[in-house]
Amino acid sequence: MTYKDLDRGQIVDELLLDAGLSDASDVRQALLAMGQLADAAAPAPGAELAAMLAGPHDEVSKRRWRHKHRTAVVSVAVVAAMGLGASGVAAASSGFTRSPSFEALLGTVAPHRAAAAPALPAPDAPKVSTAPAPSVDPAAIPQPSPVQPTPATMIPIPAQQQAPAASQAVPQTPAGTAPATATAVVPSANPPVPQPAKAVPGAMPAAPTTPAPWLRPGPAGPSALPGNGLSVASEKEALAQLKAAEEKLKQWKKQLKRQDPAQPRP
Amino acid sequence: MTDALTDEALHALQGNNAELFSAVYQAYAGQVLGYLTAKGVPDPEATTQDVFLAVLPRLDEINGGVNGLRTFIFSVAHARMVDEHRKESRTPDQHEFEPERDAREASSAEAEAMLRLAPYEVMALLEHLGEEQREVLTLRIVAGLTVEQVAGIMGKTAGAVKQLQRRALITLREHSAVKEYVSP
Repeated sequence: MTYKDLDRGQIVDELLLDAGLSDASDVRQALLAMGQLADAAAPAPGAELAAMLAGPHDEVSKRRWRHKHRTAVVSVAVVAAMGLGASGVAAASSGFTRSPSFEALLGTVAPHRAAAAPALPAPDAPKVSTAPAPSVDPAAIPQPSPVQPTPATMIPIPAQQQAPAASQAVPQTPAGTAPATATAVVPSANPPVPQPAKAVPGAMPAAPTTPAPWLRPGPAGPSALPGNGLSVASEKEALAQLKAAEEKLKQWKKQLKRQDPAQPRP
Repeated sequence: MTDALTDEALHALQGNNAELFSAVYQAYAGQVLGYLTAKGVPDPEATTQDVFLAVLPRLDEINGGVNGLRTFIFSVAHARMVDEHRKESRTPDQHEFEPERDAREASSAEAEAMLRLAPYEVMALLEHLGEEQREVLTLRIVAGLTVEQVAGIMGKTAGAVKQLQRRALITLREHSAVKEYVSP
């Protein structure tokens, strides 16, 4: 029950040795008796000390813990908040900027596009053609057969881009008779408006291919387009608008690219 | 009270303040009380509590394991003891230590037998020593500190402490009280 009696004996012996009194057993006894003072029981803690031993020091330690880890807690909270904010902004921007801005972009172009429509070898054209099929535009009926091959031949676009477009456009023509192709073509004039909106956010390489055919058939198109009764001036106007639209599209894609690296961060 | 506090135990209790405080208090309060009693502090129990009220909140800052802790506790105890003696000198009405009214008991039969004589006789023994000799002996024997630790607490060199303890022993031996105590 004593604090290391052996220790006390050792200490006393050491003391005696230092003093050259190692043979003085009486002094040794006195010193050991003195050491007994250390064997007093711990006094019952008073109110303040008992509180510290039990309750309030929990508060102290909590406060200390909080103080120690304050930076960590705050940084976790900040990172979490930033993650939420970034992902929220990304989600919001992808939801809002993509479709409406693009539709707005093409809204002005759409009417003219109706004229240039035959040149549109849009990948989604077959899908769309099925739904609005009944709305047949008689004006377009004579056109399709001569026009449809033209995009493949006339558009000066790299072969890989052209090939799928043509392959998708071609099946359309053999699929049906003349009216059938007409129905396929006329609705396809309008669908391109939402269609690039779908294509652009998905894959970047797809974007340049879609607007390109609209532009290229323009200059190449006069052979096909006069049939639609559009003047050369209005055609140029449409082209200018298309180019402007393309510029906007490019800027918008750059923005997207800039946003993209930010998205995976959280 | 057992001095169950080892470096490992101290380390294991780190962060668990409730148990750490209790363990430290249980391990050292008796010794601090003994030290303060030996130094003739007017109210050793109250001063012991003051010492631990000062020590426990600062346990985090202590380095050097159990040895460092022991040194720190007795540094605080020493400072409190000095304060108490200054206070006492300013208010000389304080009662002397009266062993008859000392109800403290040690738990082992042997210790009880020893302490039945010890409180006042040991105190009487210490009365013959000079203040510093007494301080050195209590810190060495009651507090169980090394010469270096005592030197640190008292602000002296180890050589000076050794010299003090040697003189203290010689004084004890020469004094008749020692013989009276040892051979009753």
